[in-house]
Amino acid sequence: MSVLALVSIVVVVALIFDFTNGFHDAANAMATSVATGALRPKTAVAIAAVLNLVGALLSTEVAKTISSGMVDDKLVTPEMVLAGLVGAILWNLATWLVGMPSSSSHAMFGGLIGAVLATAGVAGINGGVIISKILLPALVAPVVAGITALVATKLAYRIVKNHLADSKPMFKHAQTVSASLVALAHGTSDGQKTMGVITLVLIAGNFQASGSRPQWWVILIAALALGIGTYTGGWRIMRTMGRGFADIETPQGFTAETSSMVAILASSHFGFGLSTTHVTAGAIMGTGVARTPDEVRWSTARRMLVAWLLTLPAAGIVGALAGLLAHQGTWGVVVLVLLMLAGIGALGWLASHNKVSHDNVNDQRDVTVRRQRAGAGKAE
Amino acid sequence: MTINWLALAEVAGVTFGATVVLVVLMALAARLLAGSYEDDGSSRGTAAVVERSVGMAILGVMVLIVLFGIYLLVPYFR
Repeated sequence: MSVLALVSIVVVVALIFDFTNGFHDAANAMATSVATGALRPKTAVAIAAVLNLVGALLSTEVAKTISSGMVDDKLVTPEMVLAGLVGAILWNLATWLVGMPSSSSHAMFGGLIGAVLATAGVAGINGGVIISKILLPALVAPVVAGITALVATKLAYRIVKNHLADSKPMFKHAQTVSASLVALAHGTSDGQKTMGVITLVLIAGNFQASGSRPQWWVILIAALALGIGTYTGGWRIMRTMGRGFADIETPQGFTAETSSMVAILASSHFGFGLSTTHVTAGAIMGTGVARTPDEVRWSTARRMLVAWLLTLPAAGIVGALAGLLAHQGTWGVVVLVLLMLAGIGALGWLASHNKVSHDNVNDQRDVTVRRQRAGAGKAE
Repeated sequence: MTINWLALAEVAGVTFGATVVLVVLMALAARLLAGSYEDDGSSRGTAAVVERSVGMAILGVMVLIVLFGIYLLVPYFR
């Protein structure tokens, strides 16, 4: 396969990943605003999409390494990047199908690690970095955000105590601002991920000088893919985040979003990367525990935890298989892309049995995959 | 394996501190503004004017904090 053809395929697949990234993470910024009614669902995703786009356009720092040192970047070929992206896309869509928030970055790292392990062996992997950059932050993020949101929620409710009903509309407006900031923060961090991947593949294919900044068209298409993905909404995950864990009122929504926002900002500032998804989910749990401890749905939280634990190995296994396939040469790459498209189609078809959209995102607490009879399960 | 424990502690500390400050400020503003009216919507006189002014001032401070947040967020501004 010509280098140009391979690079083009990787660019397109990277944009598909970018789309699933925005799609998966729309809930991080907007789930609580949608659940409390602070914003109408369509308005919420429109704001999030525009701010993700703006954030991505404004953040064009030089792309760092694809893997932040988790794998030996010198060993990474465009085929491995392709395989890693396929693993990440399929895992993102599988978790979307069951309505589970999970980290898109972890999915991408998992896919890449799997692809490198399968094709370059253990030597290409840096286990220490995986622990310090993936596993530890994944443990820390929800705990820090959760405890913060818990304490802040308690304080807020104590302060407004006798004026809660009158205060709620004010928190509603405040929540719109806090949610918008989370969306902007998401755009600045996640837009760069795809730009980084595309840029490094362009460099690997000798279409761009080593160490140079992302090209303007790369910035533009990556920002657009993220924004369009966000606008599409990922309503299944939105439902779980907004309604699945706890009943959220506007002061809680504001508190959860503020702690997510501050955590994301602080972690990017101090160079300790926390996943937006882990932070947001932790903050929502924390604020739920603070107000209605008996009504927090731990079963949903447990399922989410399982999804988090599975992200790395699951995306890794797909990435490994995809990597082996892609290394067979042209036919392998073609088959891989066809299999990926088939997988996307299959997951989309499964999701269509029980659609969650902006119309019914708040109707229930759970996302089910099985086909439901019309009108069934509307009770909640 | 090097784990940057200091960065970890900083992230945790800043997250907790800044969030609590922001949420408490917002709650105070909401309480002062909501509490300065009687149930029938009428005002309670001078005390209420003071409460409303302080409430608005707190909101003003929060707007500045938000602007600072945007400044920190967007590399373009730095």
